[in-house]
Amino acid sequence: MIACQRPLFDVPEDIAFFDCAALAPILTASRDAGLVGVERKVQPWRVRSPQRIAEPDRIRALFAGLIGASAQDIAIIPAASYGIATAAINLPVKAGERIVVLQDQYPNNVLPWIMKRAREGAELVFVARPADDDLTTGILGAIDERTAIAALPHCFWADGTLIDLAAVGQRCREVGAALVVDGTQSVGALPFDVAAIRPDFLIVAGYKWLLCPYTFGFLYVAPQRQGGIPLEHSWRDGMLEGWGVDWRDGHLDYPEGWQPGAGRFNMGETANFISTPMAIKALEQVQAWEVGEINASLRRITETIIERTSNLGLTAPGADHRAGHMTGLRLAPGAKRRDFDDLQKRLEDKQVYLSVRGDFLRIAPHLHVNDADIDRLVAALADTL
Amino acid sequence: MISCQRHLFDVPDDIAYFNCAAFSPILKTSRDAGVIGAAKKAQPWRLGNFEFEEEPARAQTLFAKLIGAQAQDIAIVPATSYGIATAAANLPTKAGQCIVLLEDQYPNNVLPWIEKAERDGAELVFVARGEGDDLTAGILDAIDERTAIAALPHCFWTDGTLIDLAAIGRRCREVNAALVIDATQSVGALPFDVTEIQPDFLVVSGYKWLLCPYTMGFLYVAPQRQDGLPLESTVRGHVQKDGAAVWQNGHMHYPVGWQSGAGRFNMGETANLISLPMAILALEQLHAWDVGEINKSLRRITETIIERTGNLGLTAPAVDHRAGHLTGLRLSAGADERDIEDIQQRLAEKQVYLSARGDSLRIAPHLHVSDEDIDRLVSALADVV
Repeated sequence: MIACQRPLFDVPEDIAFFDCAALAPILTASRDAGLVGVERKVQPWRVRSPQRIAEPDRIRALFAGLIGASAQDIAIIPAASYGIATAAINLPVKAGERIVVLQDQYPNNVLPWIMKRAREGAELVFVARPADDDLTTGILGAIDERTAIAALPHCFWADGTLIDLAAVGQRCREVGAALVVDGTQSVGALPFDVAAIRPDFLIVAGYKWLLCPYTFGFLYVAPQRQGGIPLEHSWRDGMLEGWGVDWRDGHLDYPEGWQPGAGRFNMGETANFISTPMAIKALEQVQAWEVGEINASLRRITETIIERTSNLGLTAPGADHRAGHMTGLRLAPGAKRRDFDDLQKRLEDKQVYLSVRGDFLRIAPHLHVNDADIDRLVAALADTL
Repeated sequence: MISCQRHLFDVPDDIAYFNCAAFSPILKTSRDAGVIGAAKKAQPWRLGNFEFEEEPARAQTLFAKLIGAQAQDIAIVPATSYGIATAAANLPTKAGQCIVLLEDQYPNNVLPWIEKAERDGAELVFVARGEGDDLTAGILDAIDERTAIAALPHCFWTDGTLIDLAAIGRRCREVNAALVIDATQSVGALPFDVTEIQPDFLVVSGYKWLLCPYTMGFLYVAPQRQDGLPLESTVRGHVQKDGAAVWQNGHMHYPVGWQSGAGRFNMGETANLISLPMAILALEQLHAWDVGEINKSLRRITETIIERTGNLGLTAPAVDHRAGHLTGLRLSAGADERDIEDIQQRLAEKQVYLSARGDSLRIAPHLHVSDEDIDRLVSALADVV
């Protein structure tokens, strides 16, 4: 169990912040790396080409280490939508084939598949949530020989209901379906092992559970998918290895091949001078803490809150289906929905921050949260509900 | 004519920096905005509409004004390659049709067309440099009824040889060809007017002549092309009031239509908390200076250098075809690229910075350049050439 890490963040004592599933605070070490990064292009002659290669390579290796992959399986992308779009153009579907998603799944991993349905005639299957919160059984039941793609998260974005992706991955391989995982609400705070789950594509936006800056994310591409087509044809970031301009006999020599591994899927201008060093500091810290330990420590926080708010008529997902690092509290059946109206705003007035998402009061702490924050959240909920 | 603006930059007196066609220095005001931006996500509860809506809109407005367009015609992209990929995905070509490019054109506006030509069976036409550095005549000659797309810059990237894009735009419209401009080496330092040139797509990476941070660029999409398909399906690209996920009657409601205007083409996580405020200050300063004035002032610098190095056996593009803000000095016949790279290296040792590109020493000043810098460049060249 990791003790409260408040000194590594810049969160004042009077702020109780439980909204990391929206935007997590960055570490002060990342902020400081960002300040150095901002200075670099003030004096661009000091930016050396090797730096521009070394930093992206370093962050790819750090992210790969989090999910049991190799650095060369990782591409740097701006957002989850970019990664899902890359997966979507590389996974053909035929008319009548199915794409399996969850009901109410986060739109970034639904909209591209709705478009694919419109263009290629695939069918979209939305798996509903059962009363017992067992999403996995429903998903396994929906994946069959007609399934081309299962596009899923590791846990439900509004309340952290866990999905057994190892079982889903196995089922996908049995029926020859591709598995696309949006790990934005889990990787970094919930262990993920590509060797166990074997996704074809895994996409993670960094600004939540990876404590990265906004507009910075990662795409894992399974080795057998690395021959695919990237969204961009970026000369330096997808094709050349290095920064040299090749002239031959007075003419420019255009590269014909792609970078090995997932490098071809890198966004253009990959080597963001500011965000990359910030992200490096964040992932180094996540690795130092260790994801399993992060999960156990955040689980202690969410379990404490679930327990201490149960007398307010709030219910969490079933105990067997909790991702741990985040949770969502729902009003008990019969409670009036209007109790949730303006709740987020009323809590903000008390400097207690979380998100209301549909019927869910989403509670998403990180290691900056201390016991006093938990007390304030519980007391504020008792006051406002 | 704008006098030297060194005080707005942080370029020490002993640095003579003429490498803005590679990376321009950012302004001190942009740096200060970046310092604030880098700290913002340390306290995410303070972020809101200003960062996620107003700042992207402000950057789009400022860029639009630079090229005579409307804010709704502009998308924010990470890199040139992203913008060209968007254009390529939305301009169908048929077998036997032609795509017109320049010989030795910058790869980001060539590689996607090589791929497209292979896939669609189109033909690539590389226009060679004509007598007297007249690129325009050759391009006009190459564009005919078979031309589907002309994909060109406003000036040649190694030496600033100017292309008459208004004439080319007219020719494209006569034969129904689309015009795609990579203006990364010109917009911000050479006047560009979309009402006159009428491109279908215009892409600009910001880190050169827009004095923006790296990984920050702009895409202009002509109104008649705005119903195209973006590379990504973002939530914000779709019709939705506030960009937030919408719950209705206990379930997620997925938007079906796209936003009007070029907003659908925005990259995912558009609202970069650090780069956008930096870019806004840079674009505001460009407007305050005025692009026409910037061009004149930089032209005075490049013309002075051309004149004072004439006795060293260096030749610039013919006087009628100079973009002005950027020039390339060619070594006398017999020199090869190794000689040129060696010169670049020896100049860098004297803290005089420029780039060796092809057979040219590329000289790309901005308004930080002082008369002393010009003296140092000229005497350093006299020493090493």
